[in-house]
Amino acid sequence: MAAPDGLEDKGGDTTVRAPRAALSIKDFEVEKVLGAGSFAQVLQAKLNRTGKSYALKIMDKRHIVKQGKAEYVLRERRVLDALRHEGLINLCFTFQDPHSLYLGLELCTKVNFHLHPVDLTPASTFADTCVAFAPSSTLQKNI
Amino acid sequence: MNFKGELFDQIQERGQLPMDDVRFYSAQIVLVLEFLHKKGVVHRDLKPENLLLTDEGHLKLGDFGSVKLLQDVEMVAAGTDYDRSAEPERKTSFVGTAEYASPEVLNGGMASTAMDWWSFGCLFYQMIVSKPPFRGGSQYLTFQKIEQMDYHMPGVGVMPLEAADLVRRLLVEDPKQRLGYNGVEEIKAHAFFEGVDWLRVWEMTPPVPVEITRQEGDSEDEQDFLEIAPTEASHGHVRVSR
Repeated sequence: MAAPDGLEDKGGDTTVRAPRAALSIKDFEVEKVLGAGSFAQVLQAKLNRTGKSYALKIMDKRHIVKQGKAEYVLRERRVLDALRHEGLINLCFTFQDPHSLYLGLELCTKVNFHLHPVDLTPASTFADTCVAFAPSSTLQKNI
Repeated sequence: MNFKGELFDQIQERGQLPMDDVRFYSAQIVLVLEFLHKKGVVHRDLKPENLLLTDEGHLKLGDFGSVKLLQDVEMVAAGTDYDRSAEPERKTSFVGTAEYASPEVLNGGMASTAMDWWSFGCLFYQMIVSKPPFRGGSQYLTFQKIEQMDYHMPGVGVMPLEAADLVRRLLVEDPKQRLGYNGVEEIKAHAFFEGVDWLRVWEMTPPVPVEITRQEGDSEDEQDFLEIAPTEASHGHVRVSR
């Protein structure tokens, strides 16, 4: 499958479908905060080069390290990369800088089935996923 | 301005979701779970907050932070189909969200795709009743309700018979007895989904998102009382061939 939006994997790996793109947060214009927790936040951000917006999930590397969850983060990335379906929020690309990991996800609008304020604090939105991060050279290499 | 994400809030304020809409959303969820399960991936955190709506009105499932893999991650990454008979049984532990957690997730039982079918049962119930079947004043009380299978089945005026039957077959304590354990066909063949063309679910016309108009002078405090703009939109129809 061709990488979306003309982005290429900087490692030249054509087996990953969501490329590890040579991007930085400076390539984006932040449009709004979609959610925030203590471990990560999700921004709606527009890639200036193409004008296309994504849900950019930003995870703190230090936290991943502290939690010893590198393995889970990598697993989430690999699973997301392997699964493509129109009924899933697909992963488009990833990149990183010294502080953070970035997952570029398809942008959707949030549905809320709840009548009452949900027990969905920002923390629990991301806690489950974002508690899952850790450090290590593996991360450097693979995400 | 459209606030499509608030569609469900709005509909729920006005009562239950129209049954055709429930059928449409449920069919999409069933197909997504079928896809994941075929790859040996159990989502384990199926809940309304993880279902987003596209501009066209289709659902998308997100948040893979709680997935349970029933086969090795290498096999998932390689796209290998999951073969239950070839894989050792794996235990599960509690992750996800109390209200949608199956008894075996709470009790550290065996992991299976049926964990997601339980959560789907809770979500299905919630689309019709507007709150999940098991909800206590605390996480502990919610767990107790689940373990005691303590939920209320509303009357037929709210929950049509075939929907109630689907709930009863999904909210089954023993995962091996739960509808879906032996394959997604069990779910697809249920009477509630009669008339659904499973090969064309993604081509079905989604419920039309409700347009929410903000009256001039509305203050922030009044946001909960936004009115729903004219009407045909509020009953998005799913065309199900019967």
